[in-house]
Amino acid sequence: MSDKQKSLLEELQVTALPTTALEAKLRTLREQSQKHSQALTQKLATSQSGQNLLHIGTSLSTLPPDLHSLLTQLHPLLSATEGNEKECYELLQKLVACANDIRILQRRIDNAQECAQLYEDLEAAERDVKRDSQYRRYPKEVDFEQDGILGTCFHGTVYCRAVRKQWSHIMPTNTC
Amino acid sequence: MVSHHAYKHLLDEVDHVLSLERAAHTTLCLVQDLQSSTAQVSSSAPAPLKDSAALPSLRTPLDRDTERAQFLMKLAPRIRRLESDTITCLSSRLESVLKQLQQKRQENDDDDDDENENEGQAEVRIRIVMRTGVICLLALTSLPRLQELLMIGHCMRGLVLLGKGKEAENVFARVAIM
Repeated sequence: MSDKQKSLLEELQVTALPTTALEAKLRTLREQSQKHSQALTQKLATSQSGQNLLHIGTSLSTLPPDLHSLLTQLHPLLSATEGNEKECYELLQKLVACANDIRILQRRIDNAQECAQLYEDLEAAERDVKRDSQYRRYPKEVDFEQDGILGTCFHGTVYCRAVRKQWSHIMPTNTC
Repeated sequence: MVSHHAYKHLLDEVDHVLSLERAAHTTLCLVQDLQSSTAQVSSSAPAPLKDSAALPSLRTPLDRDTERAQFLMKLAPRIRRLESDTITCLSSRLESVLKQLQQKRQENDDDDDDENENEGQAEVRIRIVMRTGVICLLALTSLPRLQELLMIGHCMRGLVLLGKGKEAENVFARVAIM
């Protein structure tokens, strides 16, 4: 006889029992269930993994009843967070735009200073070359000190002074 | 003996030639800047692609700026003219100084022939050695010739800076032939 046939036969026997016998069987089954439950609890309590399972069991009991209610409760918080993130992003965009404007202006200032220096050097060089043309045509009419030959360029000025100093050591001005 | 006035005049001349060398330095810088500006303006490199997902950042490089390059390109005719004028001035000045030296040496030689009493006076020997584009000026002289050597040095350095070492050689050859 197979297991299915056995369980079917037991069900037929149970349904055929009188009420008192059924009540007695129910009590027996409850006692057995309580006994197994106590044995299981004792086994869980005596091992570490069992204790962890018992702890999780109590935590699970405090969770919201279902995910739908969880989503419903979190929705306002998520919306507020998204709004805040959007505001922060817009503020960051404005801040970076302002900072980039400042960077561009600073670059223009640097460029303008460089261009002014370049133009000054160009004019000084043109002046020196023009003076040479005049000097070759009319050598006695060019006055170097009046023309400020020593002041046209910072590096040149320093160099001219150094040369003059060396000369003054070699040929003192009192050699008249 | 050199008088104070003559001494001042010599110094002024050296300063003047120095100003030409300085003009050559300036010209070289301007020409190099002009070349880089021209390359910058003519190169049409595409702007770097921006990652749309990335957050705006101050570390993002700014767009390319050609304002300075355009300013320099407006000055291009003046810079080219300055380059040409500077080379002309330096060549002329070098030639005139070399002629002065040659003339003084001839006068000294004449004095030696006539009186034969200035054997210990200044002797100037200038040789130009052209090796792989480098000009070496070898000179032996006494102090009164120092300012002329300084001027020759300024002129030659100026010409070499502007890539006209050959022009300096030509000037020497011209004066030697005269």
